[in-house]
Amino acid sequence: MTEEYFRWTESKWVSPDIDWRKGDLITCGCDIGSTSTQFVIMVDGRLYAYSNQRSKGKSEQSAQLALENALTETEGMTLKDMEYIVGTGYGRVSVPFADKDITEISCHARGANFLYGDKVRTILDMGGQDLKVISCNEKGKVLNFIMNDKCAAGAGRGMETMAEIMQISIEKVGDMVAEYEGDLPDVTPECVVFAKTDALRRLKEGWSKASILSAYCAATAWRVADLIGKVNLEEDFCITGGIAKNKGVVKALEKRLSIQAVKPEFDTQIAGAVGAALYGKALAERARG
Amino acid sequence: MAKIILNGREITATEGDNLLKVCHEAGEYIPSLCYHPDLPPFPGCGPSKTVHRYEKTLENEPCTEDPTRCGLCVVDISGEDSPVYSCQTLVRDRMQVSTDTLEIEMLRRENLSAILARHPRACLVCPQNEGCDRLGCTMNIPEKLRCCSKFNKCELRKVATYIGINRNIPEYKPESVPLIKGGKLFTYDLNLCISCLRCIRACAYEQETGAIGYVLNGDRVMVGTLAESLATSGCKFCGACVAVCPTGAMMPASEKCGQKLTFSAVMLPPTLQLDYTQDGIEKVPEKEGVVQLFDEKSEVIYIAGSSNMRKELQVNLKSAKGARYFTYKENSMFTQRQNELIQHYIDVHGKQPRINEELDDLF
Repeated sequence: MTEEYFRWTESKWVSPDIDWRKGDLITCGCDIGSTSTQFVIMVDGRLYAYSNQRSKGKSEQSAQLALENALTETEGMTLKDMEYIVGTGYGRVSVPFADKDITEISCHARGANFLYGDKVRTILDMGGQDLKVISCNEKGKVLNFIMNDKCAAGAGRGMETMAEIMQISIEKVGDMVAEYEGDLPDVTPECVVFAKTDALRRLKEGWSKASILSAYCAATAWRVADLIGKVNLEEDFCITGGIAKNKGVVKALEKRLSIQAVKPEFDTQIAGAVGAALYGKALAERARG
Repeated sequence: MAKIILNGREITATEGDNLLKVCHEAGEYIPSLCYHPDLPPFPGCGPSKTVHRYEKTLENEPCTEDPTRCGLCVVDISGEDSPVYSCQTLVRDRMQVSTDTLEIEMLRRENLSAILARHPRACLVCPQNEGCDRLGCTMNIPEKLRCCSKFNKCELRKVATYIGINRNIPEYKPESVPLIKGGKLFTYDLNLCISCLRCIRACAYEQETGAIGYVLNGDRVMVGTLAESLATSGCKFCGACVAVCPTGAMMPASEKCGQKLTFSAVMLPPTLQLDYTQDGIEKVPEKEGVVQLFDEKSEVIYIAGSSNMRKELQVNLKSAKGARYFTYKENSMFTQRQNELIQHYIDVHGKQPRINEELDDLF
């Protein structure tokens, strides 16, 4: 079977410390993105379970699969136990079991505040198809927001494409790049289409895969740093989204910005869904009166 | 009392009133750039002998023709052979006015072309301009040809978008007049001046002796200071010029600029907004795109991209407090577009639209 280098590992997790049946309020968030979908379950505002998987062609299918995956180790939890579900992201209108949908910038900021702590002020989201920088306050409220201009280079799709061309599993790219210390070939940071041609040309010239991937990651970091330069970079600084798992990009970025990102304890892709679940909690409490 | 027929509608006015003003007051929008409700009509005064544009001095070249006005307020009057400028037409009883014929539209575009030929405008015609952060240009247009920082609030932009921009406008050749500083209060970038002369009229309106004037130079009207600098020209730094400038040629550099002034608001082009009701949303396609909700003052209160625009509108119909109008635009990259528009909104207003952040008070 041909290996799919672009395919990253899907994940799910259940808290070993929480018995959901003893909890009072169960709320959930479902973030349907262009590339990945997450489902997060919170019990009384504490993170209980989540799933992270590739998005399907139809948003309804993505939502359903994400829900099922998140429930697998919850020992019998069903939709009926969930008091409030909030949908967010690309396909949020199509989450069939959502009580409300909220745009993802707000969800993202709340989620990052929860996952990385209330000292977080600058969030870099490196998603499947775009890059976003959000400035927030101690409560996770959006103060400023800026995103990249219409391009996949530096976003998840770009990285998946590079992994595929280099025939290196996307999960191994990060470590490979983080360890590489040698020279870097010049690459075109602006365009994934040109990056492909560049990469193949460099391979022919004798550059190693590690060097080419390192150059691409450095170019990504350069591009991202450019974007962050437009807002006031304030600590704490955190990175969410799939590319946050790429040690090579993170290392290059931290060096470029002279700042350390807060290290994540959970899957970096769940920030949006976590924020959605938190909104769900606030809405459920308001409905309860 | 006079009665006039305006686009088929009967309006009451006073004989001798300014026709453009009467139309605006009747809710009928007529575009204009040199007209201002508080100021005398263009040009307002004669040319000066010389003006200074930073270190360059320009002499007036006497000319038999009148200085070129913006020409955008043209209308058809029944009985007149050719269109007239409504800003210098007086109301007569039983006048019949048409402001929206095809001929008038074309004439406005032509006159607009003449203005834009001498003004950087790449961003005006870019299909991606709404929501663009304009910090980098994916079309690789050099900065001098792109729009200035007034982009989101630029009156020229709004008027040009309303009128429509012709394709064959000659390439803009950047001038290089250095910036003229008005102390710490404002800055002049005369490269952006479209010679509407509002500034000079406003200066005369606020101050007895003005500090700025214009000369005729070939076929151009060139604005400048009367002496080498604003200070030596007797400028009082009141900010009147900045308050009425329709472009980025005169921009405030401090919040204190023009604080004490009270100019009337200029009427801006209407935007197409639909009534946010069950009937109103029935016609919206169930397609991917971005919807926006507006309050009764036509201010944006919600921006959302969706895989199903009608559903998005339906879902919010009861809960979106204060939402009176909406717009929708198809776009397959709707999440990205939504985020661009929100970014743009935050850029202008400093926070997300009200309903986008309405749940924040729950935290």
